[in-house]
Amino acid sequence: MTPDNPLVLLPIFAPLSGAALCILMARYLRVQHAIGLTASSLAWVASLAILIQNWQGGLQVYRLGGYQPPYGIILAPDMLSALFEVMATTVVLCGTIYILGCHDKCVSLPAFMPLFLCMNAGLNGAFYTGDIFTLFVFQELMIMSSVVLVAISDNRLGVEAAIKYLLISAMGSLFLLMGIAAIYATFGTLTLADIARLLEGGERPLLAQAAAVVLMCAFLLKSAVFPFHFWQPDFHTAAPTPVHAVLSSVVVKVGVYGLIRLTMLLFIAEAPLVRSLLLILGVIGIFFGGLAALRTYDAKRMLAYSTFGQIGFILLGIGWGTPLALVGAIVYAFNHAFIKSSLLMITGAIASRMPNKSAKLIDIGGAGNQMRNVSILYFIGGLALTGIPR
Amino acid sequence: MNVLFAVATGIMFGLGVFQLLRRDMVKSAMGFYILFTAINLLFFAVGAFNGRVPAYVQAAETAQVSDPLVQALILTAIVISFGTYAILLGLISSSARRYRTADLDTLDHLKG
Repeated sequence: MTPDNPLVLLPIFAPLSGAALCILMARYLRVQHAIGLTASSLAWVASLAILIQNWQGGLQVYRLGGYQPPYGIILAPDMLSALFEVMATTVVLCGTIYILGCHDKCVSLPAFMPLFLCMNAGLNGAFYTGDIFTLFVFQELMIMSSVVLVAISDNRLGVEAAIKYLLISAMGSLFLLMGIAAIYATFGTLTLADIARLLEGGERPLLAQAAAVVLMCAFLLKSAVFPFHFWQPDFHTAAPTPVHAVLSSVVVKVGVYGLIRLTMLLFIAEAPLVRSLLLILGVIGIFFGGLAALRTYDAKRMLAYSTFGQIGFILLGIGWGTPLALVGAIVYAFNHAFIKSSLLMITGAIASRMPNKSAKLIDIGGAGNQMRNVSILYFIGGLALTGIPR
Repeated sequence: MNVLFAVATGIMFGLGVFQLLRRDMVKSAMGFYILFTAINLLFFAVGAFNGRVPAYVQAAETAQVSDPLVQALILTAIVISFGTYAILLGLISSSARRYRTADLDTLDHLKG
């Protein structure tokens, strides 16, 4: 039995306690910003440390409250979740730095920083947790804070997009809960490793297949894959820029992470079925996302559609299923998170310097003449997105 | 008893889906809540009938205790569903104040 590693708690509880402190300091915006920056940097340092510990010593574990795994809640970051976690905390740290210099009206609201930190905590928890019900809880925390963040956005369509997303993602959560009920009914446990062990030996109960399908639906909805994609461009475009950067680059990766876990750890026997479906959906996503991005007239919306295409590439890697393809998918997910968030932040910075503060292509035309350095940065980002220096 | 739970879950699920697809946003929010309750009931039916005695009370060691984990999970799920429902109603009220309607067919500003 591996000993408890209390460092695992830091990426979840630093943002959560930061959020509580921020609510207490609601009157002082500067103090709120300092707290947010400290909490995000702490989470980033801790996630890096956990990645290094994983590299050297294998699986890190923390049992919350000292209860043993089948009953207690367990945080168990392995190599995959540690990698995804480093990606998430890095993007969130950059988003927090962007918030410090951002002049949007919604960013100066006292509720902004606590909600952003809560979203951060939900994201980190969803990657670190070792049992599937806690994944549901953290995912709900993430969804609710991101919904409110979009609803208070400067964009007039924020509230409407938030309602749309909340109804759809609530359906996704219902699917996840139904899958959890099916898993508990068949196996009597919710710890991921325990389910995997039980699924490995013995006969296949009928509910296991139903659980696999329902969980797949939930994760596809979370990462906006083809039949469930229609909320994504609206919701992401209406979000404030730092939130858009986090949503578009790492929040959709929670679904990708879930799909990797589903095919590689939980339902090995059902994996060929899931994989063949993922291949088809991935190819549809690549074509549809690329073509839809061509006919948009808003820079932020174009990047949201391009996310849709790039999730297709990642699904293709997961669907292929060989170790090399999976490594490719994970590396691509990593790259996509950094490049997409940086491009979105550059777009937001350009749009906020324009007279009518919008990212419509007709409004930001000729921005490169005033901001030569920014246009060079954007060019580098675009090259990276297409993978030019290979 | 199991059949009763299955039928009740099915009826609530159907009602919830029907309400969720209504045009009125308040009714669809209620449909969402009914759906969530249906799934909580499903979850409850999974672990309710294994035991005869409540867990963690002074009972004979031989008595078969009921599963406390399911009850804890449902309690968490109920809290989460309350939170989601509250946020949904808040958003609906602020959108209704802005656009003077709760009809989903007239709320089409996101089109195009």
